[in-house]
Amino acid sequence: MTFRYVFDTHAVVFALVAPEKLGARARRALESIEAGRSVGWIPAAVVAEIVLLRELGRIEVGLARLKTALEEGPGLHFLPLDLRQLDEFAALGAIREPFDRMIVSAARAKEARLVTRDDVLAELGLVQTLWS
Amino acid sequence: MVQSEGMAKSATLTVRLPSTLKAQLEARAAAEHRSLSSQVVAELEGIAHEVTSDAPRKGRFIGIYAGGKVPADEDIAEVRELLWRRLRPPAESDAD
Repeated sequence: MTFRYVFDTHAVVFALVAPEKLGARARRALESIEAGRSVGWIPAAVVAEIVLLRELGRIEVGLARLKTALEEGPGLHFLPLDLRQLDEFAALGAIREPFDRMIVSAARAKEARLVTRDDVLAELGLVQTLWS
Repeated sequence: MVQSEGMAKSATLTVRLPSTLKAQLEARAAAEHRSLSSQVVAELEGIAHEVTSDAPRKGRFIGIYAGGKVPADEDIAEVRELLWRRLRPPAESDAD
């Protein structure tokens, strides 16, 4: 069975530079993608946050290295913002944090599980989440 | 024998090095039961392999840049604030 995953910023950053910090289920999701058994997406909002982290010197991985990593890791894709996600975004006005709303919209639009360690997103009950 | 397969020893390199370093290399060569020349080649090949290993590993995403700087939760919170604060609805105290 092929599972579908959307990754938030912590998940992507930890996967790239500190995989030991990944939750067990988050790591299994990534391993499943690497093995070609599942598919995953990294939303544009997450990439924007990583670019800013790089600009502030908080991480050494910037856009160029992230693009290389995506090219090297088949099954994991960049997810541009599109109208399908914005349909979800418009319907999720109850989520007051813009990033949370974007990331949940992305997962719902792709009918995917959200890989996040944010308990708030899990408690919303709007999308299936996994981490540890 | 550490020499790489298909890599014939056809090149020579003369290097002046400290006597202490030479003694260390000779000691390691003796411990490994090989010539000083083979020991130097083996150690240089090891260094070359490490340099090559810095390149991204094909087909992997997990840990592809492992060992790099890891942002703290506060760092991610900071960029989130920078990126999204202009979209956030005004707090009640900001309202007219």
